[in-house]
Amino acid sequence: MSNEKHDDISLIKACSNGDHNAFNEIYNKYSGIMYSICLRYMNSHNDAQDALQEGFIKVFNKISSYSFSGSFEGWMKRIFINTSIELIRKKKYHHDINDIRDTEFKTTSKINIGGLDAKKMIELIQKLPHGYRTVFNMYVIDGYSHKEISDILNISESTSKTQLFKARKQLQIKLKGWFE
Amino acid sequence: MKKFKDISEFEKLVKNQLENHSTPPPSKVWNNIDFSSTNQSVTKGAKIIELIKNPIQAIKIASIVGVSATVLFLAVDNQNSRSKEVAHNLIEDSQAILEDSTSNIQLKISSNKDQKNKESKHWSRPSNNEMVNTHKQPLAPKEIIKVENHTPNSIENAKVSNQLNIGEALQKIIVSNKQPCIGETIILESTSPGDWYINNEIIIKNTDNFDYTVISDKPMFVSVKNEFGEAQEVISGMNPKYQIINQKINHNTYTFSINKQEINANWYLDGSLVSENNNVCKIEELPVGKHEIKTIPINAKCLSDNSTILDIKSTGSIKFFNVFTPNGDGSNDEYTVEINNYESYQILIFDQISNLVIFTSNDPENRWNGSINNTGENCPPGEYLAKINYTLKGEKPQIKNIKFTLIRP
Repeated sequence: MSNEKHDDISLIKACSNGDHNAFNEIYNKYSGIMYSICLRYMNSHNDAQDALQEGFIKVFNKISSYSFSGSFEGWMKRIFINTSIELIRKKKYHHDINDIRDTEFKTTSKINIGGLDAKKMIELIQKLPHGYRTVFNMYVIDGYSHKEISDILNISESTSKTQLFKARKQLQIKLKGWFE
Repeated sequence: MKKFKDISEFEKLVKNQLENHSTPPPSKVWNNIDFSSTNQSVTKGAKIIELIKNPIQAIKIASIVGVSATVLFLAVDNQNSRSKEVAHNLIEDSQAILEDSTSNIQLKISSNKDQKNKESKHWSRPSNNEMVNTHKQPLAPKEIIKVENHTPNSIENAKVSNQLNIGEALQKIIVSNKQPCIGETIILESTSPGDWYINNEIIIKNTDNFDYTVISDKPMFVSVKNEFGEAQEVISGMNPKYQIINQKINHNTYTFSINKQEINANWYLDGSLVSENNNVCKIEELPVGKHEIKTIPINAKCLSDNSTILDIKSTGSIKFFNVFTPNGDGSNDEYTVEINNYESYQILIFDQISNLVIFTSNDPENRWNGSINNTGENCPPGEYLAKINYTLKGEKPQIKNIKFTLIRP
């Protein structure tokens, strides 16, 4: 573990000195985890790849500002989450997070969950509307508080809670039959 | 099939599975990053970020894209698949250095896959086979969009100040707000140098500066583009709120207004429309009780409804007594009901035994003195019943039945 940490530190230092190989190594080491995050936040592979690409460019441009306090992985995760949120905003999908608040979810089709592995879960999350998905990801998986979410997304705490509530409701509909 | 007890159990599983889940991305992502990380030739994905961060870089990029395309075009023109491939590789691995960021652009393209310049901070590669190409290119918009005074949670005039160097080339410049709000959209279009249009109306002519004010509570796109490039800025997160201010005229008449004069709304009192398209609304003679005054902004679709609750307190009061002593000693000689600010009043006093009305009055000052109709024989001590119909100002009519005792020594 400490060895791994040591590896990271030397990689980061090399990377901020412009070592192309170190950069490649960081990419190889973390791209999988980061891609999973992007997939959860974006709703298509294409968009997730865009987010991944932009996120890594940010990481490499900002790596010299990483302070070595806190985990490097956590630092990177935040970058990718923020990049994804930014992209959603930029892409806009013609929906503001607040617009979705009152949108009724019409599709009643249930997902064939099968074994319910991680891939299926990502698909399930991807099918949520953008607003619900963002809040669900941030709160349930990435451990942000409603206060933090409201600051990052610039929505009120109660909106964040409502979004989460609605996301849960939708998931429950989709997962009907999976609850006792 | 294992079933979940509730959604939180499902969420635990999701968190467990996905928190550190890893999906290998397709290799093209790395290729794009690798390519763009040379920091001097930026691919599509990274372009927008760079454009926003660095306007001068934006010109460079846009120009490079233009020139690279030209190179590719020339190569294709040779009608040789080999040269196509070469041209493609050339662009993929090219290192473009801009010597001049104005209209004269010198482009150096080099191709060398094997050698890497490790001293460079920007993953750049050395140039062996240099190809110098000088083009005179019209410029991409010299993007400078600044958003000032951007404060969340209040209506702010997002000042989008834009300086465009229009130059000599014919440009189409669009600054647009894709979600129109109050103050309406910016769609600026210039079809000829120096002419500015807003919603097809010219607002500024022959100038390279303009100021425009827009208010929005939604993320807003402002883009400046021409055929050589595009600059984009997202102004996000303004979340204006407005307030309903009420001014008391008297106890049940109020004037309501929205604290931003530019906002007009439809006004609803307890769900029914009372005023249309107004910044202010006067409501008179509000009945006692709680009322909701709601506004639905109509010239600012992005603003949400707002409402305020007003509690109109009664000014009237009534007080009942349950005993009186008509003995002529000056205290409690008459049965009294204390009532203030009333609209109507009637008292009926019944004999409990005979159930007959023995006194009636519409005036609270006209009180019962203990004799039948205040003139007949004295009633015996005991319990009597008063039925009082009254309406206090601004309130609903009420009926109160009071049992009281007549005491004689």
